[in-house]
Amino acid sequence: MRTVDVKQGILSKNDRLARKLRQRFEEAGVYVLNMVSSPGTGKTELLQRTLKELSEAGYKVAALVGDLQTDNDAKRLQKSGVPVRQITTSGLCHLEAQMVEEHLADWNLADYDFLFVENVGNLVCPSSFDLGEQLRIALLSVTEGEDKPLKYPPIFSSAHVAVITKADLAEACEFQAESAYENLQSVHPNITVLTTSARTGLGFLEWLDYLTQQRRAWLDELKGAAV
Amino acid sequence: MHELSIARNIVEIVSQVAMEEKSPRVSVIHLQIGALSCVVPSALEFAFEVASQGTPTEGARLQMECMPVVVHCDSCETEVALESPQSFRCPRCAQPTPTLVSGRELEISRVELEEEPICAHG
Repeated sequence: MRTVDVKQGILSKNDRLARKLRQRFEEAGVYVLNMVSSPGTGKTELLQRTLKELSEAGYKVAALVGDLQTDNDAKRLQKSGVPVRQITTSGLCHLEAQMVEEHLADWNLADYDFLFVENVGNLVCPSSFDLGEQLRIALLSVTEGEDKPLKYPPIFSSAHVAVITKADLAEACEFQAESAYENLQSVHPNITVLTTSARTGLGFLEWLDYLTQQRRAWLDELKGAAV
Repeated sequence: MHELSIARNIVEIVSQVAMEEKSPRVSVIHLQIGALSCVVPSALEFAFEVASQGTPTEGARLQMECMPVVVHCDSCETEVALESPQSFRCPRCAQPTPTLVSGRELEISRVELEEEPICAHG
């Protein structure tokens, strides 16, 4: 019997691929966002309105949508008139970098300003898989309860921003916004929290403003690094 | 059940190591699993049993070392382990501690390999 040191990340293959993707996104100047949440939080609804509004504001946007079995979400999103492609994972509970790469193979990324990746609805598994994104967005709907961040710390601690969705239902659900905010801060101090309703458009100005600012800051950083 | 993806990656990496080291069988795989890695040890063991079949890792034992969440506390100017990932506050001074040092590990630290039986020729 002999012992051999390995010291290798279990997901190093995914991490390597994600790094390659990130480099590709940087070269193309496309800002990539990974949206994670539990099923039914309203990722698709938020995305539908976001794609439409960003597109109306003159940005070129596209989306990849992960789902276990169906292409229902992609069909919904295609109504916004922007390129949308479905990734069907056939039961796999999360997206991996390889799936993103395969589904982008024939896209000219330089044609886009924003690429949204809607992950499979799951608050556990997607947190370990880097997709090469610049921004990870964790969604929390008012119908889910304020303590979700405490129940699933890894996903909220790995996200750059938390978006509270379905805010138009907050009163009916007796949603305690302050408590949700505190719980988010507890698992991720200083995380940006935005509140939205894709149905009424509540909070969308701030949300779109946030996205465009983040993209601009990223582009400036890239330019700075290139000088 | 992302444990199956994780198990497949373990099998792939460790089988490669076994091949390079000319070992026919792996007996123990030592893993470091961070408290923020979302891995359920029993689920990983189950998934590994399935994924390892027919490979040099079949029958190997997974020895999992659970790693705490470690943050840097700016007030105490030191690294501290959190008592719970639900509260990113320094256990000493109670200040919020957003700077994560470790806790997301998913690493194969080392493996224990069996030797090729020595054959007597001639």
